[in-house]
Amino acid sequence: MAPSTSTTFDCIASHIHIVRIRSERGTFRIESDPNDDITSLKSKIARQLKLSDSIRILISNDPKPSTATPISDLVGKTLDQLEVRCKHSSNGMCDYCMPLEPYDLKYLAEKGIKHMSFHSYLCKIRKEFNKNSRNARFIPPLEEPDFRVKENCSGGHAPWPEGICTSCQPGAITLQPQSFRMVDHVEFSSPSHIEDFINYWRSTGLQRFGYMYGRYEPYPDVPLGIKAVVEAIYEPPQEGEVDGISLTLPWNEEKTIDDAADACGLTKVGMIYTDLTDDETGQGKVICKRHINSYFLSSQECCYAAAMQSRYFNPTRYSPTGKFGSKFVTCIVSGNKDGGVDVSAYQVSNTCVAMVTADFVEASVDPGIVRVKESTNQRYVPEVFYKYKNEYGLEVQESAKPCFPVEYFLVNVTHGFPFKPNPLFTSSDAFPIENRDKLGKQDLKTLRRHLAIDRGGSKLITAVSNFHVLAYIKQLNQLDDDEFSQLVKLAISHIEADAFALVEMPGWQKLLALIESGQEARKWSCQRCTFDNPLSASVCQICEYLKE
Amino acid sequence: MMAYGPYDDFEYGMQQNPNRGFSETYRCYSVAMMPGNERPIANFGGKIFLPPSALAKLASLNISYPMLFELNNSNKQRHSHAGVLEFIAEEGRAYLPHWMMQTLLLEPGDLVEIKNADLQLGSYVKIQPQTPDFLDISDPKAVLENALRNFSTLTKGDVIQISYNEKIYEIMVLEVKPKLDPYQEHPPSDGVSIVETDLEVDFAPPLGYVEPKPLPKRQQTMADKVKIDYTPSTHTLFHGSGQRLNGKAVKEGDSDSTVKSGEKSAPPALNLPFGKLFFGYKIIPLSDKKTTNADEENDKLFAGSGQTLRTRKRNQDRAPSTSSAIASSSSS
Repeated sequence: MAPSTSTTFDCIASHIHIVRIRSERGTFRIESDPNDDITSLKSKIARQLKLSDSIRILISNDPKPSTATPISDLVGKTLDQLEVRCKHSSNGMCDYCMPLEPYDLKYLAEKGIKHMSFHSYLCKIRKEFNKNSRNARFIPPLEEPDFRVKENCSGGHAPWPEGICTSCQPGAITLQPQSFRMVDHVEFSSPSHIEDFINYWRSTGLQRFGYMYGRYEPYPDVPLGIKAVVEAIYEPPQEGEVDGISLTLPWNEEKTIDDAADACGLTKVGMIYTDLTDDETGQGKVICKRHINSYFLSSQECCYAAAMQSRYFNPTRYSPTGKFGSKFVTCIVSGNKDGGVDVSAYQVSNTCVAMVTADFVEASVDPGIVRVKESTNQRYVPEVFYKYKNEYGLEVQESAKPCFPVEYFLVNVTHGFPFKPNPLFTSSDAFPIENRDKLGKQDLKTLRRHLAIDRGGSKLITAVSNFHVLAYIKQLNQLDDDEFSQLVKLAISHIEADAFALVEMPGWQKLLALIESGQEARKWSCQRCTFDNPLSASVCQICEYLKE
Repeated sequence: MMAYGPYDDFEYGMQQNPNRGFSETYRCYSVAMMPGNERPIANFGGKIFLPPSALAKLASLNISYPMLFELNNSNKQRHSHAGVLEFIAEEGRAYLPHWMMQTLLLEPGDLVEIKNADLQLGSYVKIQPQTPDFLDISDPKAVLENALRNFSTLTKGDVIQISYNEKIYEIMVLEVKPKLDPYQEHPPSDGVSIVETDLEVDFAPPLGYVEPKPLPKRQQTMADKVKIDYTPSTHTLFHGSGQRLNGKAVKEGDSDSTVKSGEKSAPPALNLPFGKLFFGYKIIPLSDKKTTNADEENDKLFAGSGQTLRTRKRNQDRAPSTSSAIASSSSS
């Protein structure tokens, strides 16, 4: 053993956390809490060995002073983190140091993660799959549920509905909560997105719907997790009501907006809508409608979300159809139990999507209940069951016909805001949000004011950094693709050189000319009935209201 | 129709020429107490019955027509005006409509002083129905025209009664304005004659009338448009009713006679077109663990611990727990 000035010892942290010290002064046992800081161990050792300066204690996996680390370097760590358990070489692995599988249920439960991430699920499925199959060929392990009767059945019978056999009819469905989720987290890059969105409700009392544009990123808080980062909320044409929303379909500009988002590197990551009702106490609180005793996502919203998810599917090569699930999230702005306005995010399960696609579930007037439709010539409805714990705590299976609770479809998605917001679009100046005619229209006049063209476009660099402005400019259709991507580059980078490059471009000049001439000013819209009159008319042709 | 001259004389010459004035005191009774046929119209009018002697006296005087009288209850300092219907009352008596008795605070048999009066034609009157149900009359103008035909005067402060559709309506006269003659100085008077004149009638809100609050403007909701039917589609398995051999009727809802349907009842479907979202469901308030509280209370119903007669078994039950305690103490 080393001289008393530098005591070396091996320590074995057993399960009851006793550190044994062998030294020239004898063998000692020190009890230590595995979660205590290493400094407490240091002081205990120093007391036991009657060392005057504990700085010189070295700590190591094996009793060789050359590989030992001074204990003062390990301050801040706990005994558990020292990995003193492994006695093998660095290229070996034992039970202690083997990494956890990403789908480790114990770990997920510890971290409060309700659903494993899609890629963890994929790992799990692949592992099980590879264990069973000895086939060297790659076989996609995922299978999308499909509850429709298979076409072109080789069973040698008349095609459905005249004939059906066990190979072409869908099997019985047992509903159970989905163990994984396609998106783990929704991150709003800035709280102002939500603020702007619910301002519509604040000023009109009507509900609002919007598509969330953003991108998918890794989410480190969940093993192999994915988060959707929302950078903008675009509000399509719609008619809001106190207790509902009707989207104006078809939405003709959808492709243009998607292209504009694509140029910014964004896609539709989901939808968001408000379901807010003032509680009329005058304290600015809202009624908490969605809670444990009522519902979180109504059956009607589930069906809608399922239709949207099947539209925005997730491409993957691990499924024979080339797609599996969807990363389209549904966010609801509603009252929480304290009466505050809060966001909650959900997805519906792949089973739900398949059932809605096969058209055998429908919404009911009870928001927490989904109805199963009857079999007809057009659709074959297999047996549907669901399992639940009854009042005696027993797991029982019950037929889901004619109806079952909507909870079997729901997948929770967490949401939040970043600690240090770093949104893509930083413009702080307000530009009217699209399709909000009640609160201000988007037109060339407002664009002119927003870009401050009168003052030589001095605010250009900051002003264009707003998705609503970009989408409006895109809709004016004056910039070609290169010019628009230059505009987007400026909107994201805020570099003066980009602004100069943009201003040089002919499309931008064309746009400025359009704004200057105010082509839309050939018409004037009546203040009362909004009819677009020719410039020559001094009174409205419809309601004879005087031109302003 | 109206003579100016006598009026001046009336004003200044009444003291000098007592013949010109009619002033008598009678015992008054309600019209209802008159002998002979019942005269319901007389009770809802503004005219009184006087004895024949009054006619004789009036005829001898040079008074203006129509004959109008001022009625005075000097005890209570009340006065009103009236016309005369007939001179058929017993001597010493006058019969007054019931409302007039009330207005003058007269009891049957009280003395009332009746003087002849000369009133201006009225131009304006403001009245106030005493009950809100007057507003239920569909054509108040015709009703009033018809009812006031029985009146010859209106006096401020009168609460007149009119009968319409087997209902009696009380109306208070709040204000009267005579037709002003610019060439004529008028004595201050609170009564007007309403015989053969056009009268402008103004209504004050009836007593006890509450202005109906305008209903708060309700925004049209989606729930109105989609017309949700919340009634569950229940279908009973066995329709019809039971029969009993003894002929008695089968009780409705007898638990033995109804067969419970094994199927669950489903709420009706809500089919909205794609692109519509609906939130107008019934709001269920968030209750803070009410159900669990009820469960706890149920648990408390049977407090206390169990007992067993076989002591051996209890020892066995206890044994593992002590050993585990030892184990844990040894491990720590």
